[in-house]
Amino acid sequence: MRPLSVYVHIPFCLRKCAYCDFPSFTAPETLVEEYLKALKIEIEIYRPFLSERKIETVYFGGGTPSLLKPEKLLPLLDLILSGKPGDDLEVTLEANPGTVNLRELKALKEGGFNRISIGAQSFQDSELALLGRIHNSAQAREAFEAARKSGFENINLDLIFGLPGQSLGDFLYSLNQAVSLAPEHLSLYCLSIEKGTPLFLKVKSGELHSLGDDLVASMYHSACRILAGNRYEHYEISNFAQPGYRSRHNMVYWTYGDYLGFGLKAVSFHDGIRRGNLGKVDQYIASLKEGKAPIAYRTGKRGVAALREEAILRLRTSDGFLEEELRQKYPRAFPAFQKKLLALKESGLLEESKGRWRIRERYFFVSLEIMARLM
Amino acid sequence: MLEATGVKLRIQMEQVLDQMDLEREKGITIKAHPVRLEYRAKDGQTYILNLIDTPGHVDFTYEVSRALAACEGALLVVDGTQGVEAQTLANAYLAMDLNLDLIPIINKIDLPNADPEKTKREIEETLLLDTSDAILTSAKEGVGTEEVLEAIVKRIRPPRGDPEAPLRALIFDSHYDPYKGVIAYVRIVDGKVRVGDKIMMMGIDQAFEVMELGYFKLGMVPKEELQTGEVGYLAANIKSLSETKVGDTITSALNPAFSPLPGFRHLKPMVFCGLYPTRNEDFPALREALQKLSLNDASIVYEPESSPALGFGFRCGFLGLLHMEIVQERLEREYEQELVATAPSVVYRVFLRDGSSLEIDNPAKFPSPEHVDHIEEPFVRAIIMVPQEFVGPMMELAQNKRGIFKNMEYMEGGRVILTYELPLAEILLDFYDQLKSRSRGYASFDYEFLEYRKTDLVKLDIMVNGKQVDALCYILPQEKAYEHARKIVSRLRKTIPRQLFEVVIQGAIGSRVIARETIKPLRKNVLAKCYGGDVTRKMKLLEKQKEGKKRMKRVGNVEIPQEAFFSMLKIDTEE
Repeated sequence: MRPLSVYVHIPFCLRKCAYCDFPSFTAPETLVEEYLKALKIEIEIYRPFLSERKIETVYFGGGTPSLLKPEKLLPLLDLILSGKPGDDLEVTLEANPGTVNLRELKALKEGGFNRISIGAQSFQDSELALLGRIHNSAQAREAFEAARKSGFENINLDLIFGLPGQSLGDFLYSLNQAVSLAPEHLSLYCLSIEKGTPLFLKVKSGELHSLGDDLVASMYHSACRILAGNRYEHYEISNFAQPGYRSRHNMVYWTYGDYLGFGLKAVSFHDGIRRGNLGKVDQYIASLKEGKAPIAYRTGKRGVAALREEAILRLRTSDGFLEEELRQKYPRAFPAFQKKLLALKESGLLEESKGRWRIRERYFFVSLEIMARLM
Repeated sequence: MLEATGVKLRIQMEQVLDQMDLEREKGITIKAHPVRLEYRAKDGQTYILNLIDTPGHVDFTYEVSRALAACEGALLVVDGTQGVEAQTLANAYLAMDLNLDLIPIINKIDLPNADPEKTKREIEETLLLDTSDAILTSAKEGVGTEEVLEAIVKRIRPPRGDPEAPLRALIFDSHYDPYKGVIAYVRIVDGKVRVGDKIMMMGIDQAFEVMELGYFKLGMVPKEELQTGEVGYLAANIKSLSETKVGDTITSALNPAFSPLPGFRHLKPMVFCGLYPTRNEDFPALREALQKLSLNDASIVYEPESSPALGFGFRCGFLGLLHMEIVQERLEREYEQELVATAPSVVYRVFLRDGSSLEIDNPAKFPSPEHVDHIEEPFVRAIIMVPQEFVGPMMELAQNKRGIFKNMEYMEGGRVILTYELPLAEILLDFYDQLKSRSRGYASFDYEFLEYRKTDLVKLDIMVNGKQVDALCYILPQEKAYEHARKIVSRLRKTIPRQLFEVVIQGAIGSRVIARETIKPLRKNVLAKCYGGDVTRKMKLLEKQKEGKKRMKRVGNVEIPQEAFFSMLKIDTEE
């Protein structure tokens, strides 16, 4: 049986950030309780599936899952694992500075969480204010140190770059602050200004100016060099890890592995079917109250569409893909696809050695351009 | 008029006869539309009137002249708010040449800024027509419709023609129907034709059997017989497009007429451009689309050509720029072709040192300068009608475009008619846009071919990353070569999107590079976050990027968008 990963979405936040277009919102305590009840019903619906597969990674994302006290989070985790945690299990919690303390972190560690992902975003207070974060840079450092003290040996820091008004120096300052904390893992996200967010409106009205592509690209490439010098492996477009500390959960997404997503708007993918949950919280809860799975859509891709999708997802990583593996999985669709691969190899945009295809690191930041040619 | 004679309009639309989406969008008539009206006149008799609504723009003169050849008279409709425009003159002269009875009509008199008296004086001054019995109308409010219909009955001669003579029917238009084959639009000049008759195309000496006859209301109405004087359509299971030539005469196969009708003066296309499918494998589909479209628009010519940069396509000839634009849009909309068009060009006459000469309609085919003795290019006589306050800007524009001033006439009411001789090639650039913007839309413009003249021209080659791109070369006047080359190359830098590598664009005359620009490589096009929930969105984004690439043509490694091939047209447009 193929292994399985599990994602749990906790959509609640103390305040929505200025750049966020994720399903997240502030909610009264009663709604949180109802949501957690619904989550448990949803998990029970998939009980047969969960118990027949070996669960390898669990990820609590949001929103701000760390808003929930360990007393709420740990029962959910137990429910998913049916009280029999496997060895070699990766269990991640997304945590925002300002929402965690030492006591709680210790409880989480003891309860089975072994990886923590801290949304630091920046170590400049003015930038944090611009982003609408609820914390300052001192709190980010405190959160990191508290996690260490509680015994977490696998910590990620999220950083955002390319903010309106940010200089290369501004960003490299935050990056160096992050590196000096020696996290096992770093995610560097280039800010994308999504329609409808407060940040979008400020840029549209001319109050803020988005940075030029050249500057943003310089930030990215400088970061790549700095992190390589600090022995971080650049294993995915936006992700860096010390040897042995890749996010195993996220690797499942990029290698077309199977995962179940629980919670609002969460997406599941297994056996070639992608399934999305309802995106409105009242509908999500109502459906589960009736004992019905809260599914909004199902799509299945086969043949060339599936091959394209898998290849493109895998090309996000430094592992790329093995030609032989995809040829065996998609024997009919592969030959036509291979022609496109060869054309890209010829123009130097894809690299192939010993049957393994990759996008070179220096092309990561223009990877959509290359991927579009594989469509 | 349609309403007054009882044609039921189920859908009320502004322009009932303009059936193409394109016509409604642009508010212009592109195709001539025939329609039959039955009118009970004041004298108690019922008359059958055949009306053909025609375009006005200079590019569609051919449509107008064919429609006029099928008529006895013409209604000269002048907008009472605009007065006589340059194209009014052109079309009126056309009708006079064919000796038609002309009825001047002044329309839109319901509008507050209409000035019928001034318009009448302009018609008398410019066309020397008597306007004492001109009819004032408001098509919108139905004013004057009755008078127009009465005038048609009283003032336009009835069809002449001999009902007893052998059949002679003039094909003045046609279209292709997938079930009935070619539908010929005919005017029965002599004799009659019935369903089942054996007919013959006199031009190609081939016989067919008439399957269907009819006349035009808002759609086609079948009828057993068409008689002398009638306008209608004829289907005879004609599958091949080359068998129905507009202008040809249909006669009876059993009792053929002695001689065909005069037909039409064949208009030579003045403007040429290359049309290429964006994907090379769509070449046969483009050929078929052109074949079908040319049946409906007899003024297009096309022949296959190949370009090292663009692959296989067609060199197409058009009557003018608007015509070219319309044909491209029709090919894309009605025939679902994805096209790349090259910049329009006139036909140059190139005289070689060895005494021979060539007609060149594609700048890429220009012989190399050492073989060229001299070059001639087409000149036109252009008429610009404009309110007096814009005379200055108009003269400046014409001067910029190598115009030679010929005449200036003041009309009553403060308008001026300017006459210039201009190289046609200059009109193909942004002349019309400039004309409109410099006169705040008040200038009207018309031109006719004058003659070929010797001028000093050079060919500008464009190199992209060292590779010459034939589809991007331009013919320029020597005196403007440097200035234009710099503008063209700079515009190319702005229209070609950044690629994954540096792109160098050079403009050269012969082996001399006279302009150079660099497009820096693309630095950022990435989706930073892609986790479980983002995959679907990401794939949609990629689909969109792929769609965007469809409109690009790959030349070597470089993807060039359609607009780049038109860079020359915008060189004088302010940024």
